[in-house]
Amino acid sequence: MRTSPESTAADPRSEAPQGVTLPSAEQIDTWFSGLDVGVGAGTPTVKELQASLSWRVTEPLRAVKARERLSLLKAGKLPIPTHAAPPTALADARRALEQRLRQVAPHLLPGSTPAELRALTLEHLLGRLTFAVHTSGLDSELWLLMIAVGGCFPDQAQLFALRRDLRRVSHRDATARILHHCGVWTSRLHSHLRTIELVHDRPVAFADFTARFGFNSGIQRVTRQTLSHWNGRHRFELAALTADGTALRTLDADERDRVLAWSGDDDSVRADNEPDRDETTVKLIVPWQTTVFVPEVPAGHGTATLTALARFSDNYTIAIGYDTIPVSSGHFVHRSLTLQFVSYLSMLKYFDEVVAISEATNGEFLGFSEALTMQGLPGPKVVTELLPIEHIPADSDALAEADADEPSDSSTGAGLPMVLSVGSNEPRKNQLTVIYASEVLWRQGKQFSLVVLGGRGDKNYTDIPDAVAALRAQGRPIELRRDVDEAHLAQAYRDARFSVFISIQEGYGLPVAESLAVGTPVVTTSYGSTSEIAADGGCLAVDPRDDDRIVETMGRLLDDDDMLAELEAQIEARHDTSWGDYADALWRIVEAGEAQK
Amino acid sequence: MTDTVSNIDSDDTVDASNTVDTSDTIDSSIRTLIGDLGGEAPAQSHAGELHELLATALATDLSAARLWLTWAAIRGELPTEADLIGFRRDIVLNGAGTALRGLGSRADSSIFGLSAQVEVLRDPILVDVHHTSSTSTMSGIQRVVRETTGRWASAHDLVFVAWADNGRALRRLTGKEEARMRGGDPSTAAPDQVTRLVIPNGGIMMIPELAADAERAERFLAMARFSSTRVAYIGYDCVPLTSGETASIPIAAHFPLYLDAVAYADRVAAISASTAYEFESWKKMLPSSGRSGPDVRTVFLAGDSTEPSDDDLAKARVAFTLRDGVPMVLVVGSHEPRKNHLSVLQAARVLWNEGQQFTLVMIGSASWNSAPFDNLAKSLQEQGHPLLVFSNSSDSLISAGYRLATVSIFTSFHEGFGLPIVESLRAGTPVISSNVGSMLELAERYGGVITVDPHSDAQLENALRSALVDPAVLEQKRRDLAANEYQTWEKYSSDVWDYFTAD
Repeated sequence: MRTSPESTAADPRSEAPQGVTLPSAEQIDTWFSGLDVGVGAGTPTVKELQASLSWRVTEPLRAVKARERLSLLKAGKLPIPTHAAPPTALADARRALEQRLRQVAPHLLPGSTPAELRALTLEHLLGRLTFAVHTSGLDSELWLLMIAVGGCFPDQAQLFALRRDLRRVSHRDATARILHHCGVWTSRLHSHLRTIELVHDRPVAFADFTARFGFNSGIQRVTRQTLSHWNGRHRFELAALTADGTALRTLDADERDRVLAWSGDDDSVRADNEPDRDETTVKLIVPWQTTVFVPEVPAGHGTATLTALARFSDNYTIAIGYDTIPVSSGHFVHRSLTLQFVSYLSMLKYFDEVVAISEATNGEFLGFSEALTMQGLPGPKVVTELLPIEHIPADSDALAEADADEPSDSSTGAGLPMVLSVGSNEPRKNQLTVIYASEVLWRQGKQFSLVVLGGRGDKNYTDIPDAVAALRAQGRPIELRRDVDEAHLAQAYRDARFSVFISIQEGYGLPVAESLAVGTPVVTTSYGSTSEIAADGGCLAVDPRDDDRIVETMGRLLDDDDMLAELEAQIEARHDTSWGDYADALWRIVEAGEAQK
Repeated sequence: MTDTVSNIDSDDTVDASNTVDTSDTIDSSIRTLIGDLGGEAPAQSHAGELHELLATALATDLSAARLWLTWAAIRGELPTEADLIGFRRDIVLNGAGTALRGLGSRADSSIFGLSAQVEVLRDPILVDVHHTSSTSTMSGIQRVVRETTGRWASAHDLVFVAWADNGRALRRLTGKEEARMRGGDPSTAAPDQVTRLVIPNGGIMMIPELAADAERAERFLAMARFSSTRVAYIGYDCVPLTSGETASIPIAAHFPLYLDAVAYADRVAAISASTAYEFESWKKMLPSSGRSGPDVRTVFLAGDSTEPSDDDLAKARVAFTLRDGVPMVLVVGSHEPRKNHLSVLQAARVLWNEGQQFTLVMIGSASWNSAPFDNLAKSLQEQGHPLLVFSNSSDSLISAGYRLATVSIFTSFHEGFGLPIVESLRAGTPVISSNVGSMLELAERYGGVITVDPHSDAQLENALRSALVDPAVLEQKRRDLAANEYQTWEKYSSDVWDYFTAD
């Protein structure tokens, strides 16, 4: 333990402004030692702690915290540090704390010049910051200070608990309580060595899953297309989550590439085995009075972190809204997915704006937002930006190569007109209806092959492979294709006479856009987002719950070459937007959000 | 009104209600079904002929209601959406005869024969009281179900139903359950011999409970979508959807299944205008799945508080350690985060530290995620503050509490109604409550309520302080509440009935 600077001649307290009680260096050191994270000369003795200011003023808090610790210990959730303290640990910890405080100081102490702030010691900084936040009583400032002190973002309960404990206490006690509350989490998460970058002059884009994994389905595709289009054109900051979900952090070079330099289906950058990241010294991204843009659907504790950010910080928060299927069509998803989505909705509750990917989706989020009135909440504003229709990024060389390898992988239906059904195998996609309708048509004597293409989807749902196997055994020209790369996907759309996508509910309906992008007509659902895409031509709309009508429509399109040609002409005449248009539109929304603050 | 097909043509001398079905009764039920489908079945036709006749009758028209009724009657259970879609495709591809054979024998058959009796009721009014009939405990919803359906049962012809053990069929209640619902003595009810399954042909299916269990939800979904039976729900709230962070894990995960079924229903009687607004908002989520949702109407809920005896009051005084001149502040509600009890403890802590004298009594069951509340409450008690927490208290203790309290607090973040507000007012005790949703609605309808923003600790603290230090505040509120005219259970139950049964 350091010797107390209080005895030295130049007592910094003499310089403190009116009303500000500065913490001592000893108090800060004792705080570090008390975190049990291997900082300082070991855990302080009870006697040393009792001598410290914080021990006395936080006495009522400790009773509560002790109970919490006890329940955590019982549940086996409290990490027990095993490593010994390196000699520089305390200095490192003080340096990191000082860095964090200096990042937030200009924003919480706007009355001070940069030179004045530079001259302040760690103790002065901490004392002035706690004084400013305690005096203002603003949740947003408390949120920021908690991050600077603790090295992690608070959730709602943490912020409320501290705010309540700051009620009617002197500034001296307030400092001790802030240290104590933040210390609980710093101790649990070992976040005392983290540094922060406060971002206030450019938007922060949340890219977590996309940064960490090469997976490239709908949401990841939208995230990558949007952010990589912005890259180089606009200034913005990327942020992912720490592994524990308690903070936003910077991305490493690989992760940036995975978000911004995604090269289609190139497996070389698809490696997503995460390095065993040491997050004890990671740099956090702290958005402050700027726009936070969330194009992904976060899960896990990250939602709690973002909820508190949206609710308390002065940032303008915007999310892309894809669909609400897990709650509006509950039977189509696993219970755990519904549960996860409900947490996501609890986050959106406090967001400022949702950008829906279709008018149909807009209605879903608007319904949710309006219901919040009954809780006295304004709910997010909901706007629509329809996703673009663009070609699958297929590489023609790669395709030619692949085709050379497998000259004929559709032996089943060689020479026959092909009908294509794309979508992962889950009941909502309604592919069983397409298979059923095809069988009815085959029995009528129609000559065509059916290709069902898409991921395994729900592993417990085997109706699709079962039906395909049964029909193949009877000699029907039907084929189930999985793990198809984008080049072959594009080729399949080109080869098809028409495609069928009659999902019961879609936020957008990518397979409709993909089919239109290569000029292949689509039979699709007559309501919702797919009907919005169909409105501009090239599609026949059917009620996906009406078996007879689906049979009739597919049959007509198999027989009627004129109708097919007419639909193809309609596709030619469409004026569709591109990913660039979409990303530009989103940037305008983000900029407008910036202006709101 | 009810047509018990299992009795027809039975020359058995034993009372049919106490025997399982036999092949004879199955044949006669198929005859009835053929009639329902518009066919004709001569009395002397044997089983094989009956199946041919049934297939012929069915194949004339594949409308959903006919398929639903046929599937349910043949199987002796209720179909899911997938069951019925598959049944129709089987008929189209392979013919009605093959599809009917594909349904197999009745669900309750085994090598030991049939174990249940199946009745197809023509245009019945069925009331699902699955949870309420199985228990004598009283949650908020069970209270509503008892007060409502008990009155319906004495005024109208209806059939109470619950779900069979496998969760796939509706059955009549056992004698014991009937007694619970109709005010009899469950302990003297005769034991039941046989499960009596019920299948409606037309009529109305009333669902006054929160039927969120997966089996119930998916079969009500199919019934509402396909059958000729009108499905009507009492709608309590959308808390698990719009305040999911405050709902327990099983409820948050299953509530959307319930909503999915309600999406195909005919009517929802919402217990407050706020709840109706939530359901109307939710309906805006449905067009993207090609649905428009049910008709939603507000039928404002009743609420009351039983009168405690002098003995109850005396016992409660002891339990609450009441002292003359020290006011008691009462909070009723389970200790879950949504009820905002941490804010109440915070206000009390600040006021106690100021030197205010009052006893805080909190009655409510331990609940999902109540640990933060428990920890803070225990530490406040250890610091010597007059705080009492009751987690398993009797109704008489609660009703005595409402009368002994100076003021009660109910500052939840989100409610479908807010029964404790009405209970407190009816006991003559003013309430500090939230200025949002249904709680605001109650405050606008009834005098005696002080409203605060549930998200503002300061507002609650100030409201409680002025209630404690300024006698005029509560004096005025007590005068206000004396003029209240409360919604009665009679009015509520008859309004819901009229709405559900109106054309």
